[in-house]
Amino acid sequence: MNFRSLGFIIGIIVGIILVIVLLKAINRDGKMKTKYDERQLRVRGDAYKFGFFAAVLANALLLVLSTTEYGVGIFGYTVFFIPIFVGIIVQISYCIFKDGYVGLNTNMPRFMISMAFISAFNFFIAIMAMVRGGFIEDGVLQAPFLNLLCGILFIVLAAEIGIKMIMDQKGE
Amino acid sequence: MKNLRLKAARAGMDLSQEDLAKAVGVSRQTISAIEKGDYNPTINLCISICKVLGKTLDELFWEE
Repeated sequence: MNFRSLGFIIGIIVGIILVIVLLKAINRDGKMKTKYDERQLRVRGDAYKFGFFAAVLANALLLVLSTTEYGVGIFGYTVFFIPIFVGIIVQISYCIFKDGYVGLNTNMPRFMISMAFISAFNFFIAIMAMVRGGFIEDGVLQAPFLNLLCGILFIVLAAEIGIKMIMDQKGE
Repeated sequence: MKNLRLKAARAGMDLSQEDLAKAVGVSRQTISAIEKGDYNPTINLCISICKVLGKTLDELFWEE
Protein backbone atom coordinates (compact mmCIF):
# COMPACT_ATOMS: atom_id res chain seq x y z
CA MET A 1 0.00 0.00 0.00
CA ASN A 2 1.48 3.32 -1.05
CA PHE A 3 1.45 6.63 0.81
CA ARG A 4 -1.45 8.05 -1.26
CA SER A 5 -3.73 5.03 -0.61
CA LEU A 6 -2.97 5.22 3.11
CA GLY A 7 -3.76 8.94 3.03
CA PHE A 8 -7.14 8.25 1.40
CA ILE A 9 -8.02 5.58 3.99
CA ILE A 10 -7.06 7.86 6.89
CA GLY A 11 -9.00 10.71 5.27
CA ILE A 12 -12.13 8.57 4.95
CA ILE A 13 -11.87 7.38 8.60
CA VAL A 14 -11.35 10.95 9.87
CA GLY A 15 -14.28 12.07 7.69
CA ILE A 16 -16.60 9.42 9.18
CA ILE A 17 -15.60 10.37 12.74
CA LEU A 18 -16.09 14.07 11.93
CA VAL A 19 -19.56 13.39 10.49
CA ILE A 20 -20.59 11.46 13.65
CA VAL A 21 -19.34 14.28 15.93
CA LEU A 22 -21.00 16.98 13.79
CA LEU A 23 -24.33 15.12 13.59
CA LYS A 24 -24.44 14.86 17.38
CA ALA A 25 -23.53 18.54 17.68
CA ILE A 26 -26.07 19.91 15.18
CA ASN A 27 -29.03 17.91 16.48
CA ARG A 28 -30.82 19.58 19.38
CA ASP A 29 -31.45 16.28 21.18
CA GLY A 30 -27.77 15.26 20.92
CA LYS A 31 -28.69 12.16 18.90
CA MET A 32 -26.90 11.16 15.73
CA LYS A 33 -30.09 10.46 13.81
CA THR A 34 -31.79 13.47 12.25
CA LYS A 35 -35.58 13.27 12.49
CA TYR A 36 -37.84 14.00 9.52
CA ASP A 37 -41.60 14.00 9.19
CA GLU A 38 -43.53 11.89 6.68
CA ARG A 39 -43.54 14.55 3.93
CA GLN A 40 -39.83 15.19 4.33
CA LEU A 41 -39.07 11.45 4.12
CA ARG A 42 -41.00 11.30 0.86
CA VAL A 43 -39.15 14.34 -0.50
CA ARG A 44 -35.84 12.78 0.49
CA GLY A 45 -36.78 9.55 -1.29
CA ASP A 46 -37.44 11.51 -4.49
CA ALA A 47 -34.21 13.45 -3.98
CA TYR A 48 -32.16 10.26 -3.69
CA LYS A 49 -33.76 9.01 -6.91
CA PHE A 50 -32.91 12.22 -8.82
CA GLY A 51 -29.42 12.30 -7.30
CA PHE A 52 -28.84 8.70 -8.37
CA PHE A 53 -29.92 9.36 -11.96
CA ALA A 54 -27.85 12.57 -12.10
CA ALA A 55 -24.77 10.62 -10.93
CA VAL A 56 -25.39 7.88 -13.52
CA LEU A 57 -25.83 10.51 -16.26
CA ALA A 58 -22.67 12.36 -15.21
CA ASN A 59 -20.79 9.05 -15.17
CA ALA A 60 -22.05 8.19 -18.66
CA LEU A 61 -21.03 11.62 -20.01
CA LEU A 62 -17.56 11.29 -18.49
CA LEU A 63 -17.27 7.77 -19.94
CA VAL A 64 -18.06 9.17 -23.40
CA LEU A 65 -15.57 11.99 -22.82
CA SER A 66 -12.87 9.51 -21.80
CA THR A 67 -13.24 7.69 -25.16
CA THR A 68 -12.59 10.88 -27.15
CA GLU A 69 -9.17 12.24 -28.01
CA TYR A 70 -9.46 14.61 -25.04
CA GLY A 71 -9.75 11.79 -22.48
CA VAL A 72 -10.26 12.81 -18.87
CA GLY A 73 -7.32 15.20 -19.27
CA ILE A 74 -6.37 17.16 -16.21
CA PHE A 75 -8.87 15.34 -13.96
CA GLY A 76 -6.96 12.04 -13.83
CA TYR A 77 -8.24 9.74 -11.07
CA THR A 78 -10.26 12.57 -9.49
CA VAL A 79 -12.73 12.09 -12.35
CA PHE A 80 -14.28 9.21 -10.34
CA PHE A 81 -15.51 11.71 -7.76
CA ILE A 82 -17.22 14.12 -10.14
CA PRO A 83 -20.40 11.98 -10.62
CA ILE A 84 -20.57 11.60 -6.82
CA PHE A 85 -20.46 15.38 -6.36
CA VAL A 86 -23.05 15.88 -9.11
CA GLY A 87 -25.37 13.33 -7.45
CA ILE A 88 -24.90 14.91 -4.02
CA ILE A 89 -25.58 18.45 -5.30
CA VAL A 90 -28.77 17.32 -7.08
CA GLN A 91 -29.95 15.39 -4.00
CA ILE A 92 -29.25 18.23 -1.58
CA SER A 93 -30.64 20.96 -3.85
CA TYR A 94 -33.91 19.07 -4.38
CA CYS A 95 -34.22 18.48 -0.63
CA ILE A 96 -33.57 22.13 0.22
CA PHE A 97 -36.07 23.59 -2.24
CA LYS A 98 -38.74 21.01 -1.28
CA ASP A 99 -38.18 21.59 2.48
CA GLY A 100 -36.80 18.14 3.12
CA TYR A 101 -33.25 18.99 4.12
CA VAL A 102 -33.44 20.52 7.57
CA GLY A 103 -34.61 17.96 10.12
CA LEU A 104 -37.11 18.43 12.93
CA ASN A 105 -34.34 18.27 15.55
CA THR A 106 -31.73 20.33 13.67
CA ASN A 107 -30.17 23.29 15.44
CA MET A 108 -29.90 25.74 12.51
CA PRO A 109 -27.24 28.10 13.93
CA ARG A 110 -24.97 25.16 14.80
CA PHE A 111 -25.73 23.60 11.42
CA MET A 112 -24.70 26.75 9.54
CA ILE A 113 -21.55 27.15 11.66
CA SER A 114 -20.61 23.51 10.97
CA MET A 115 -21.05 24.02 7.24
CA ALA A 116 -18.92 27.17 7.30
CA PHE A 117 -16.24 25.31 9.28
CA ILE A 118 -16.20 22.31 6.90
CA SER A 119 -16.11 24.60 3.88
CA ALA A 120 -13.27 26.73 5.30
CA PHE A 121 -11.32 23.61 6.33
CA ASN A 122 -11.52 22.15 2.82
CA PHE A 123 -10.63 25.46 1.16
CA PHE A 124 -7.65 25.76 3.51
CA ILE A 125 -6.31 22.33 2.46
CA ALA A 126 -6.84 23.13 -1.25
CA ILE A 127 -5.20 26.57 -1.01
CA MET A 128 -2.25 25.20 0.98
CA ALA A 129 -1.73 22.57 -1.73
CA MET A 130 -1.88 25.28 -4.41
CA VAL A 131 0.73 27.36 -2.56
CA ARG A 132 3.05 24.57 -1.46
CA GLY A 133 2.53 22.36 -4.49
CA GLY A 134 0.69 19.08 -4.77
CA PHE A 135 -2.53 20.43 -6.26
CA ILE A 136 -1.45 19.42 -9.75
CA GLU A 137 1.28 16.85 -10.41
CA ASP A 138 2.44 15.89 -13.90
CA GLY A 139 -0.47 17.87 -15.35
CA VAL A 140 -3.06 15.89 -13.36
CA LEU A 141 -5.20 17.19 -10.48
CA GLN A 142 -4.51 15.56 -7.12
CA ALA A 143 -6.52 14.85 -3.97
CA PRO A 144 -6.65 18.52 -2.80
CA PHE A 145 -8.86 19.17 -5.84
CA LEU A 146 -11.48 17.08 -4.03
CA ASN A 147 -11.12 19.39 -1.02
CA LEU A 148 -11.77 22.34 -3.35
CA LEU A 149 -14.91 20.58 -4.65
CA CYS A 150 -16.04 19.95 -1.03
CA GLY A 151 -15.50 23.61 -0.17
CA ILE A 152 -17.54 24.70 -3.19
CA LEU A 153 -20.24 22.12 -2.38
CA PHE A 154 -20.78 23.52 1.12
CA ILE A 155 -20.85 27.11 -0.13
CA VAL A 156 -23.48 26.14 -2.73
CA LEU A 157 -25.41 24.38 0.03
CA ALA A 158 -25.30 27.42 2.33
CA ALA A 159 -26.31 29.73 -0.54
CA GLU A 160 -29.28 27.51 -1.42
CA ILE A 161 -30.44 27.42 2.21
CA GLY A 162 -30.18 31.24 2.31
CA ILE A 163 -32.17 31.61 -0.93
CA LYS A 164 -34.83 29.21 0.37
CA MET A 165 -35.13 31.14 3.64
CA ILE A 166 -35.65 34.39 1.69
CA MET A 167 -38.21 32.67 -0.56
CA ASP A 168 -40.07 31.39 2.53
CA GLN A 169 -40.10 34.85 4.14
CA LYS A 170 -41.54 36.38 0.96
CA GLY A 171 -44.15 33.61 0.72
CA GLU A 172 -45.45 34.04 4.28
CA MET B 1 -57.08 21.77 -3.61
CA LYS B 2 -56.54 24.18 -0.71
CA ASN B 3 -57.63 23.00 2.70
CA LEU B 4 -59.28 26.16 3.98
CA ARG B 5 -61.17 24.28 6.70
CA LEU B 6 -57.90 23.24 8.30
CA LYS B 7 -56.58 26.79 8.09
CA ALA B 8 -59.80 28.15 9.62
CA ALA B 9 -59.80 25.57 12.42
CA ARG B 10 -56.18 26.34 13.23
CA ALA B 11 -56.76 30.09 13.20
CA GLY B 12 -59.91 29.52 15.30
CA MET B 13 -57.77 28.04 18.03
CA ASP B 14 -55.29 30.92 17.66
CA LEU B 15 -52.52 28.56 16.61
CA SER B 16 -49.78 29.42 14.16
CA GLN B 17 -48.57 26.88 11.61
CA GLU B 18 -45.48 26.48 13.78
CA ASP B 19 -47.60 25.77 16.90
CA LEU B 20 -49.68 23.14 15.13
CA ALA B 21 -46.57 21.60 13.55
CA LYS B 22 -44.92 21.23 16.97
CA ALA B 23 -48.09 19.77 18.48
CA VAL B 24 -48.31 17.02 15.85
CA GLY B 25 -44.54 16.50 15.42
CA VAL B 26 -44.00 17.71 11.86
CA SER B 27 -42.28 20.68 10.23
CA ARG B 28 -44.06 24.01 9.71
CA GLN B 29 -43.59 23.55 5.97
CA THR B 30 -45.59 20.32 6.10
CA ILE B 31 -48.58 22.07 7.70
CA SER B 32 -48.22 24.83 5.09
CA ALA B 33 -48.15 22.23 2.28
CA ILE B 34 -51.31 20.54 3.62
CA GLU B 35 -53.15 23.87 3.82
CA LYS B 36 -52.06 24.79 0.32
CA GLY B 37 -53.14 21.38 -0.97
CA ASP B 38 -49.60 20.53 -2.08
CA TYR B 39 -49.36 17.46 0.15
CA ASN B 40 -51.82 14.71 1.06
CA PRO B 41 -51.09 13.68 4.66
CA THR B 42 -51.27 10.07 5.85
CA ILE B 43 -54.26 9.03 7.92
CA ASN B 44 -52.08 9.01 11.05
CA LEU B 45 -51.13 12.65 10.57
CA CYS B 46 -54.75 13.58 9.78
CA ILE B 47 -55.85 11.97 13.05
CA SER B 48 -53.13 13.79 15.01
CA ILE B 49 -54.19 17.13 13.52
CA CYS B 50 -57.86 16.41 14.26
CA LYS B 51 -57.07 15.56 17.89
CA VAL B 52 -55.11 18.79 18.40
CA LEU B 53 -57.79 20.93 16.73
CA GLY B 54 -60.73 19.08 18.32
CA LYS B 55 -62.33 18.27 14.96
CA THR B 56 -63.33 15.09 13.18
CA LEU B 57 -61.70 13.73 10.04
CA ASP B 58 -64.87 14.54 8.08
CA GLU B 59 -64.85 18.15 9.27
CA LEU B 60 -61.27 18.79 8.19
CA PHE B 61 -60.44 16.39 5.39
CA TRP B 62 -63.58 15.06 3.70
CA GLU B 63 -64.21 16.69 0.35
CA GLU B 64 -67.88 17.06 -0.58
